[in-house]
Amino acid sequence: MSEHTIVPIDVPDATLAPAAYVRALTDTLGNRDPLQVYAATTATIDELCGAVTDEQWHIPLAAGEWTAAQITGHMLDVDIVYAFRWRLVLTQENPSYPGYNEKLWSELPRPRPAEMLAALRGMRAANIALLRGIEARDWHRVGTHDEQGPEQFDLMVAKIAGHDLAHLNQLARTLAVAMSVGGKPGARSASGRGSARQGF
Amino acid sequence: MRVGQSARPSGSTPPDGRAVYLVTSADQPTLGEDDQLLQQALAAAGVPVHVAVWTDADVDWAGSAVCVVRSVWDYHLKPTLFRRWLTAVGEVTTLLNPPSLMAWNIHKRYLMQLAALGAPTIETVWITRGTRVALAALLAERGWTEGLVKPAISASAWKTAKVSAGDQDGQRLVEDILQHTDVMVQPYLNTIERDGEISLVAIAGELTHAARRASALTSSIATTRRGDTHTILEEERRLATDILALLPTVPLYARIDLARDERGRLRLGELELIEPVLYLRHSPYALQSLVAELVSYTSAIPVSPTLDGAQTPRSGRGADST
Repeated sequence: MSEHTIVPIDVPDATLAPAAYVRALTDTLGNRDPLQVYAATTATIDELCGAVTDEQWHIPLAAGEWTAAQITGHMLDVDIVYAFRWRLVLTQENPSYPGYNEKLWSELPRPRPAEMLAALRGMRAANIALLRGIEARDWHRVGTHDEQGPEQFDLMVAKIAGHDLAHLNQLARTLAVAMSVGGKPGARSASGRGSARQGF
Repeated sequence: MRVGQSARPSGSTPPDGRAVYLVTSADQPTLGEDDQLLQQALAAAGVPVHVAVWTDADVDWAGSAVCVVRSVWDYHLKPTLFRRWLTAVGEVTTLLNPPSLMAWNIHKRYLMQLAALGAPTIETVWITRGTRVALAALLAERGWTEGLVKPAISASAWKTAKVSAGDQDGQRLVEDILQHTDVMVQPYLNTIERDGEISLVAIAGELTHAARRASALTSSIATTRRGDTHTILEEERRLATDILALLPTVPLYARIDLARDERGRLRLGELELIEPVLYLRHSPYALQSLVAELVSYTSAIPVSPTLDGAQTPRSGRGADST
């Protein structure tokens, strides 16, 4: 048994079990403030990934699992999707929007990790400004997800906040693996001092 | 050995650039007992010392020769603010320990990183925010009759408790901590309750002394902050030295907390790089080393007389990379 273990957060497949998926995300969020969670995510990603090496970005949690680059890329994808859906719901009466295949999206070309993180920060800043700026009544507006059915605006925000927590957990577990097989941990690239001795 | 530094910005002329700022928290405006010794020793060495509260918006951080984080015993309650503070102050003056090192040390996941490099740590189950976990099941799965629950961002044994399988308070504590930060669950080591922990102190990379520290769960915080003298064993010295060697830069101060597990093996409990009590009362040598190191930050500033007779520093000490 490993000396350090991170308890995983398991979330069902969004397409195969949409209702269970939504419930899992809201359960993950619990009674936390969704906007507060959403707003804090990029800082947590920065903490986790701030000094990850090029190699570590591309080490998967296990065979067939995503790498840190793919996880953060997915989080950017989700922000793009929600950026659109939120604006749609805020400007139309009960609009419909499609689900999407997150696995196929994850295989599309992406920028390098540093650029991807910058893009996520920028996209998220725009979305946070939107969420903080809308009226209280806007949180009760409704849209219809093709796979999950009608959903209120506040549920959409709760879902993405729960989604953030689940993927931060996945990212931490992935980086724990990457650190153990990928050489230098993040902290060691924080300055220019030479390689560490390992005398244990 | 040189301590890692952050770069001093160009163009700023601090009002009293020779002063050492000892950084504290609002609830410790006169510093902790241990840090008062440092304050007195610096003053005795002729170094202007200013005690500054990190959350005080009126402090002119750029006016210091060097800022030394010391009795900041509330940073864990405001970690985001503290990170921002590290960045902001690190941009206008020399902040020690180096800000990148302190930022890395805020969340105890650094233990996971050190373990990945081979440091012997205490077995830990990490529960991140959003995870639903039954503490009793977790303890049973690990075969732990008792566990230690603590926040991944914590200081002074804050929200840290011994728990057992049927303990509803333990489950509540886990859920409470998860509202704020991640949770660490470790096997409860009776050895720590019985023997305490050994805290080895390093100044500018040199191990100077150690103290035996009673468990914060069975003693008062005041008692743990006083500590008892301890002669460093070779095994302890070797392990602490190896752990320090894993750091990317040499910290001005570090405290390496070691404990023995139930099998008698030496384990790293924590590596404290932000606000550890350094047990300076146990080592005049360490105190003088710390003073000498800080004096070098102030005396390296060339001073020239101004027209009104006051002295104005012209530039800061050359910056190392961090």
